[in-house]
Amino acid sequence: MATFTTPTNVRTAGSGWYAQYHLYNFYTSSGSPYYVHFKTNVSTSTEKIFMLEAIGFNYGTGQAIRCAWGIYTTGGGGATAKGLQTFSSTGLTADGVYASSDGYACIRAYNGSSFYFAGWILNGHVHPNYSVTLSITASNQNSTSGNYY
Amino acid sequence: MANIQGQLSIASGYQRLGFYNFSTTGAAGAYFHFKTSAQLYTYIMTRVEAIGINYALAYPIRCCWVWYTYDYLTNTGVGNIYSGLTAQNGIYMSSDGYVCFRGYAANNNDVAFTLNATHANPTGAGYNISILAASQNSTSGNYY
Repeated sequence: MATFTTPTNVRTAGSGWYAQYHLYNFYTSSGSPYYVHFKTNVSTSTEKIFMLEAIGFNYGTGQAIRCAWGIYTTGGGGATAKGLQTFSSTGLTADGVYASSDGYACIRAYNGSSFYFAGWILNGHVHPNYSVTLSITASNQNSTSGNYY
Repeated sequence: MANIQGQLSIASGYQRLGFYNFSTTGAAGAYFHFKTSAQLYTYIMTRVEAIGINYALAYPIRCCWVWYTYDYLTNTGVGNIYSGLTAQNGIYMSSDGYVCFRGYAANNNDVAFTLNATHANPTGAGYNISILAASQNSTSGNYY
């Protein structure tokens, strides 16, 4: 058996890096504030189509986490949501997609009950015709329900 | 950080991540058919999962199909988590004897997903499944 000591960033087969696992790990110890923002490396001046999915455990609410953000960067400076979906009874909600003031795609997560010891990883899934090697360049837990970056 | 990148598919004894990739750039039909290497009388319990994004429908994709290749195709089922692609319980045998499965997306311009396979059940554990053919078309029944 091959064992990789974590964190391990894995990109699977095929041109364009369809699946990019374990992009980022985030955890909280404080139950509030209730929003978490992530800034990606994807410039809104390029046209990209990708999905980010959070998978983890919210100890504070006693719930598993699985939710996803569908994202399209227009190439003209905008980032729009192409579907926000949260699996039922999840400890995290996919809350929004926006463009940062300096032109990068960002996502926003929310849980209005508690973030007390919540942790999750982010996986990425990319359309190969709009391929990009994804990374998270910044993250922050705060009370901003709109754009933070 | 260990950073593995390249033309890589991950295969453990029980799971294969990214064993097949599928993408579209045009609206060629609402049905996505996949012909697998699985055949009857092999007694393998299979779970295949699709993960990705449907730009036109504006939803992420996560859905799965399960089946058992007994002397006949049995115990078929589906699971749908996100709405970008619907796993239909249209799991069927091709005319030349291979298990096929079908997904559906009403809008299908710029759809992309990878397929993961899990063979964790004691019957057929570690099977090395592959996709022999894939097609996006308008066939709501059996295609292969």
